Amino acid sequence: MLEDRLLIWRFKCGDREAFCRIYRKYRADLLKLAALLLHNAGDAEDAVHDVFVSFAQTAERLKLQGSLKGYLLTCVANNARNRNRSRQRKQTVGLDEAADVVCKSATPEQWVTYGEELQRWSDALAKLPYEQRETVTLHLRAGMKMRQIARLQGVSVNTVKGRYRYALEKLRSLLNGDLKP
Amino acid sequence: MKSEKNIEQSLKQADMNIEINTETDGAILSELIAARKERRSTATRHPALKLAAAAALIVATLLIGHGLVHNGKHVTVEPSGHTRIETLNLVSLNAVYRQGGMEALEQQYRKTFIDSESRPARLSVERLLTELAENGES
Repeated sequence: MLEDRLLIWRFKCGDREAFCRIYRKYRADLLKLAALLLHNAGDAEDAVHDVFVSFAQTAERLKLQGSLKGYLLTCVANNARNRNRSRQRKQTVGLDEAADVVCKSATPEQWVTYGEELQRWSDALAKLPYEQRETVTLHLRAGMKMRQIARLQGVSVNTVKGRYRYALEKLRSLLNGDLKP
Repeated sequence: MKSEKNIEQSLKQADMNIEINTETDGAILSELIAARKERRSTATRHPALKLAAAAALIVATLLIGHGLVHNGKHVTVEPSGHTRIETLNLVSLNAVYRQGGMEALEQQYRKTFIDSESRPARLSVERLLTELAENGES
């Protein structure tokens, strides 16, 4: 936490190495979260890329309240939600548009190769409604509290708890016997 | 049969490996640094901001040099030629600088002068430097 604050301060003062360090420290966690939320390699990479671009450009105005990791994870979650919304909008337009979305996921130079375990969880989570997927991922993988997720989603804590419960129930019925303990 | 607790634990502790393509990674990092550089060059610091920072530093030096507070008692400082508002602005910037450093000073300056568009037009570095030189001689 202290190291992050120091890195941000150095970065604000124009230290390039500080930014490289922040990037290398958190990119993997952000990519994993994005992959679980979006279930699309290309979209996940784009979301993390966008977050870093935005961070690089606006760090001067950044007033960090909590941890840097928490801040970046929240940014990825917000970006992923927006991407999911626009993807849903595109998919309702017609089959041509939907095909285009699928093509975009296959980029010639992949930034990341996802491990088998992540792929499996991503596939399972993709079967949940987005809000449930987001709730369970943010709570279990990003370590966010229900209160923080509620604020992020703009709903009550009880709604978040309900989404979490439904998500686990559905995951249980989906995954039984499929995953290693 | 897995219970919900098991699923919770599995997802929480799952070892989700990813392999990052170093070549692409390096290219992305360079791109981000370039984006940052571009941003910094287009949004160079407001000249007025530099002026305020310089002014605050000069005033701080002056105040310390003259010993504004001597043995816990306030000492009267001779009028510097600034208006009362200018003096108050400088004193407040000085206080902010002492508390939060350059970063806090910049924020305070932005809040006070730029957002409210009330930048004192008569304040200039030359004038402050002249005063500093005069004070140094006397």
